[in-house]
Amino acid sequence: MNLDKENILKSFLGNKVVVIDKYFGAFDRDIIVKNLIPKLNTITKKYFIAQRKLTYVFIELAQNVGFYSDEKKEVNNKNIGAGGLLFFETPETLGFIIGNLINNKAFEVLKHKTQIINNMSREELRKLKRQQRNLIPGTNGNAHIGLIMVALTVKQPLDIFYKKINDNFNFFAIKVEVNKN
Amino acid sequence: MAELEDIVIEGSHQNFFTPKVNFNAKTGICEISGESFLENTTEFYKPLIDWLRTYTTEIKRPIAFIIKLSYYNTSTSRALLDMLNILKEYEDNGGEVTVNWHYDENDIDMKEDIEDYMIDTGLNINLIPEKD
Repeated sequence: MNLDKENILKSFLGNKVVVIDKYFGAFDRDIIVKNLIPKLNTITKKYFIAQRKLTYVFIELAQNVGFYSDEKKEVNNKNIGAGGLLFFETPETLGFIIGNLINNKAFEVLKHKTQIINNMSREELRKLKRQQRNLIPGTNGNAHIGLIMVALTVKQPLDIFYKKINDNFNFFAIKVEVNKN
Repeated sequence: MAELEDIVIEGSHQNFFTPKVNFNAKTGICEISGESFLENTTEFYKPLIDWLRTYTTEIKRPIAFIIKLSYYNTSTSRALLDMLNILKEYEDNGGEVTVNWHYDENDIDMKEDIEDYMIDTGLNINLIPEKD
């Protein structure tokens, strides 16, 4: 399946932002640590608090693409989830949008999760985090709280976008934007 | 009873953010510092969790657990919960437990997460803010 991820992500962003860097490919841990986090650090180097927030949520969301994307690429004999990423800025903000292919069943679950999260107060989210973190860990110690932590860290509702690709798949993306100061 | 060996891990910011670990069976001082974002979180933390279980059930001396992590991902946060629960159980059984958690004074999110660990585990955690 040939997805024009770049144009899909740009259509989600609109034209009030400036795209300053991008990546399309597998989101394995090596790429995240050696390639993408340094890119993020370069973009955010003048804004320490924005850098901390963005780095934290970026690692969670990038890992999710690697684990859960339905588009796979082989890296070191492993099938790793692939997707797309745009870093952007406006005069007041810095951010990124990250997305991947997702099958319909997983998409409905994810959409439902984000709706629940977006309708909760901060105290409710913290309580949900504590409940979820007490569950039996998933694969590789997954603590079931990634999206909750993103919402708690950016202190805003999760900003999600999706586009139907065909009868079986959607392209799902999350945008994270924080003030520079 | 076989002697409990210390755990010493150097830590690295290179390939992965591997935390520095120093668990000392003689002094009971256990420290985790740096960053934690690992290839396999379960594989890394299982020996630490097992060590704490052995220390609190067989050595049974006072323990000072010190966390100085500037970043940890969510799977690490679950491993931290497991370790803190072991310490709480030890405290409930009469063990002497001190937990000191150092954090950047500007990192309100981490302060909040530490408070959530206190609610979750019932442990009294000493929050120690540090200037960047």
